[in-house]
Amino acid sequence: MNALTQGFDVAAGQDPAAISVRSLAKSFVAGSPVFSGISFDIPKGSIVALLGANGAGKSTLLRCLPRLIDPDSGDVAILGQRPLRSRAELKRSRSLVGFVFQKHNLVGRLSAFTNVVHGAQARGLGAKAWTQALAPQALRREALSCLSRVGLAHVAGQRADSLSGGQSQRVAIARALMQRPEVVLADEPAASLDPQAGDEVMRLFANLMREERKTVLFTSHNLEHALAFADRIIVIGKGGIQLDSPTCGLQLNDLRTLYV
Amino acid sequence: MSDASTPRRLERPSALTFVLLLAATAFVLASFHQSGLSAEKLVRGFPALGRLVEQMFPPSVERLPQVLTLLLQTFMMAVTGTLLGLILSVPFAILSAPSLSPHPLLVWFTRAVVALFRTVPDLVWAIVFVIAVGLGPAAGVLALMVDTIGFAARFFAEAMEETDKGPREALTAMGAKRSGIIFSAVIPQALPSMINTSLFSLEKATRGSVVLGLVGAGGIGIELKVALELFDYDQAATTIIAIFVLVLIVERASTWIRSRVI
Repeated sequence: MNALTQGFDVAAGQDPAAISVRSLAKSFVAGSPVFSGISFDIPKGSIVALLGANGAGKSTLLRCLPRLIDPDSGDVAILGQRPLRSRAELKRSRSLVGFVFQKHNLVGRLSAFTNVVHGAQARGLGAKAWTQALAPQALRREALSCLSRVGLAHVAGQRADSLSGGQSQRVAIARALMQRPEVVLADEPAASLDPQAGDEVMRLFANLMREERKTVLFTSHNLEHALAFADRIIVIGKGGIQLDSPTCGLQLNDLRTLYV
Repeated sequence: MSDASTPRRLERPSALTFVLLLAATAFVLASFHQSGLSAEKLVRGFPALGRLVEQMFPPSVERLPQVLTLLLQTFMMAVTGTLLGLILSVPFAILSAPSLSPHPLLVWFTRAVVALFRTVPDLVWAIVFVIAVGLGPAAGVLALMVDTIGFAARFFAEAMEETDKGPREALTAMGAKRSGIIFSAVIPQALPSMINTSLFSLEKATRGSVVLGLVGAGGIGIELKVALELFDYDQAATTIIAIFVLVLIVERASTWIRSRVI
């Protein structure tokens, strides 16, 4: 029997997968699924790229994992928490997941520093993480350290809407680090940036995630980024998985053929 | 015969549209007739208005200290009523914003309450509160508070609904609480619009507070009423000028603050 058909059972002595997806399906128009029957496991500490043409459902699939979008059917487990099963598990799983969005999703009027402090809300710190003014010293130190790690401590006091696209995305990565997540999902983190800034952000992102041994699932249209930074590549299209393979041994042309 | 290529606005109106236009015109003409406004009345009214202005000038400064004291009291009523109203408008706005409220029934209920606050004029609220808490500025403050909620809660809710959903989504994805999302992502984005609404509320309350005294709810209105009833038109002129200066100062200050903050 295929391991993917056995629910979320884990063999004795084996670590559970960080992300498990089973038979996930989603449609926005009845009878026309974006995808269906999507199943995969992502072991802890690995970095996986999710590729696919426009409209293949990459972003939708990513958003189904922390239930920002409700899937029609199927199941998801994030470090054993099943967000589709109960509100308590949804809350626990969301606190374990950092999400980096294509458009950064920072509060433009607030400082880069306050935006990073917001990341601590995943840890249930309440009003202390609403704004830097309410944050205790330890939290402020940690936020500054997160900004330093993305090389932006010097812009801490600047308004987020005054930063460049690359800087904004790095602040968003710092906010995700502030969550202390186990799993990081990133929806085309370099797509809104120019090629040079995109390369820099992806390199920084991948290096930080490797240092922290985070489990990462990121979507991208950039095949070079997928080959350079991921351990494994999943390609979705035509409503299902077209390819699921370790990156080593894959060539750019192998991936290009799947986009045709 | 209707040509398919003719733009709709160039087509002849249907019989029903024609009848409705005729009815609307008849209603407007009847409204003018009902108001009793006539050229003859206007001609007779102008000299009377001239005599009134003549009696008003020069304004009397005999009671200027009392007028200024009452004016200050009126402005303090406006500030207190506006501030209380603005503070209470925030929860009303959150509960009436569909994307922030915990339940659709609460949206419906709070919107109905806010609409009631807005629909009933502040003078009527003042009468209600004079009955409830007695004569004096307290009734005026409560009336202004309710009137401010009716105005500000609606605009606060709209400002909150119009904020960029991205930062909310980011906080939702990390499992932040609803209160965290509201105070970290929604209110900071809506703040410029909320400050704008708050300043308009203060201007509105300053104008409104002037007439509340007419029904015994404190402030300078009573001074104006007494002066007019005793035919002390020169006294009334002083009061009117003082009110005009106050409203002008508040409007100018409000414009200045708006240009600095937003």
